[in-house]
Amino acid sequence: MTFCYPWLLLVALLIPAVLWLRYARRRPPLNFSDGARLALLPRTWAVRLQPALPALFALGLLCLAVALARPQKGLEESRVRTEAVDIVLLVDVSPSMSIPDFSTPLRTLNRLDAAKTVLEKFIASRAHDRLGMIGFSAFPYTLCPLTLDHGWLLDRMRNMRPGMLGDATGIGDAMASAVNRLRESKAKSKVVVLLTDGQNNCGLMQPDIAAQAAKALGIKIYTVGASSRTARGVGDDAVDEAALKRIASTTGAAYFRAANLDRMQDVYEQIDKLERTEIQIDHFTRFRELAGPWLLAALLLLALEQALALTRLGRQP
Amino acid sequence: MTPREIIKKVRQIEIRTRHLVNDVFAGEYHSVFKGRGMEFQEVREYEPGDDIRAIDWNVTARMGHPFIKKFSEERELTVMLLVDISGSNQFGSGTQLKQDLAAELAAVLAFAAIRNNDRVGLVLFSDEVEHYLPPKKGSSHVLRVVRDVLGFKAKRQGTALAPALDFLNHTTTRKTVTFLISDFITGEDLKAALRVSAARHDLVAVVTADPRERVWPAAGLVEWRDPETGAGQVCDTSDPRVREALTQHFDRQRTGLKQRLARTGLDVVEVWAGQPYDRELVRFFKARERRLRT
Repeated sequence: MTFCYPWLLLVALLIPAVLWLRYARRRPPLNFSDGARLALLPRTWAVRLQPALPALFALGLLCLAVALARPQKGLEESRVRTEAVDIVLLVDVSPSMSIPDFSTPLRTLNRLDAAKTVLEKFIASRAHDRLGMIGFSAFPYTLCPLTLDHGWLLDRMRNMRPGMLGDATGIGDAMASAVNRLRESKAKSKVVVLLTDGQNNCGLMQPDIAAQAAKALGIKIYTVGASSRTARGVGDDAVDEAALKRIASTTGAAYFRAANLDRMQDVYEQIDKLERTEIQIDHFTRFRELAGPWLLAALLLLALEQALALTRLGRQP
Repeated sequence: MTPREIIKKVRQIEIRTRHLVNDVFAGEYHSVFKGRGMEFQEVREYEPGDDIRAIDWNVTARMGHPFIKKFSEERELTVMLLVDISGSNQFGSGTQLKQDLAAELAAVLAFAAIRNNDRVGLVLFSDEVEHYLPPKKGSSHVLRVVRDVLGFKAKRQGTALAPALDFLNHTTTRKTVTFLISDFITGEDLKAALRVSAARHDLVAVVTADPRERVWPAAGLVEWRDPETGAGQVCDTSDPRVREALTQHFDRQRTGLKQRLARTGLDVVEVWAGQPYDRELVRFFKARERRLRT
């Protein structure tokens, strides 16, 4: 339990003064001629309970002071301001992503499945950022706009299949689409992570131009080449490393080559770290206000004191 | 009380007690304290201007020239009022404090005494003698007495009867009729002082009390303070046992007091604040008269 205004607890120091006002500064007692006779009278429970009244009153005031200081409890799940980082994950879903060159000796794993595995972890690690996902091959398709609802994002990601969007690779269009998604974003840091296994071979927008646009809007585009084969000279299937590097350097990001699952994992962890260090995170904790019970206790105690003082424990004059 | 208020109160008491003094127990007072008549003092030579009816013919015949009998006025006695003004008299449940009752009684007795041409003196005491008016005659003196008894402010709170009685013994030379008006709430042993005074004087104890000193109504918790000691005490008047104990204690104490006073030969008059006292006084005078006759 913490206090929102701890200095208000100092109000409790006034309690003796209030007690004095209420109990010591009352009307003077009545004269009775023979004090010795009074001393002989039996002391009943009502007389013995007299000190309880100031005690109840003081306790009530104390509760009131505590309630005034606004006790609250920070909830366990603290939230990071959502505007911190916006990340659009660009994932190539061209048919070539079904090539199982990320297989380990133990199981076969095509490129897209490997990407999904890695992205799942990435998404889990960016729990407080808005994430979006765009799949692309011949044309880009927004699987999920920027959102904090990562459960839904994961759902959408799991539905991705290679070749679901035609047989080509329009990197430029996809980048333009991602940049468009981030254009309105007010986040401090805007990031696109582009994962592809091919080179731009269709679409209206050249990747370099899209990169310029991204740069103009302050968007960083990390590029990941996902292919275990060496890029050069393998035709359409090869990763255009030069182009990807250019894009990355234009926008002030970095290019990574992911030749196998572990490597890909490393790459995303690296991106994760890079972005994390740059972001200023505004924590703000949601509090549960606890003043209510204190206030209730104070009211009950004060009401009890008042009720007793007005009835059986009331004292004349 | 301001002087104006005191004068007003003196007038009130004078008017209220006039009937009492003149009609109700004028005769009683007279017969109780003046029963002995004139007392022969001496025989001296006749001087022109003397009442010829006072000539003692026997002596005149023996001596050859006129002699008269001289009587002293035995009626001319001194009434001393000893009034307790200690803190415990600042108690009253009704319109009247015990102190007011004491003052009124003193006033009544003073008026009655003056009407019979007696001398009236006043001693106000707490645990010491606070004020003394030597005995004198005259209606202006009695007003002074009444004014002082009403308006005097006690300097001390405690109660002690012995110093006042000692003072009485020391200041008076003749036998007096002394009314000791007090609530007799005191821890001291009165026996010795009372016995000495009662032997010298005609001592009458007027015991004042308030009905609320004996019986309480059920009124919840009440915080009391003893004005003499300043000690506070909270009492639960709603509890019947407490009220019962109070009454029992009062009755026991009152019985004991009356026994002790009677044993030392004092007459006792009990008066209650807020209640008429004339009947009580008349009863006292009647009883005393009866006793003197027998």
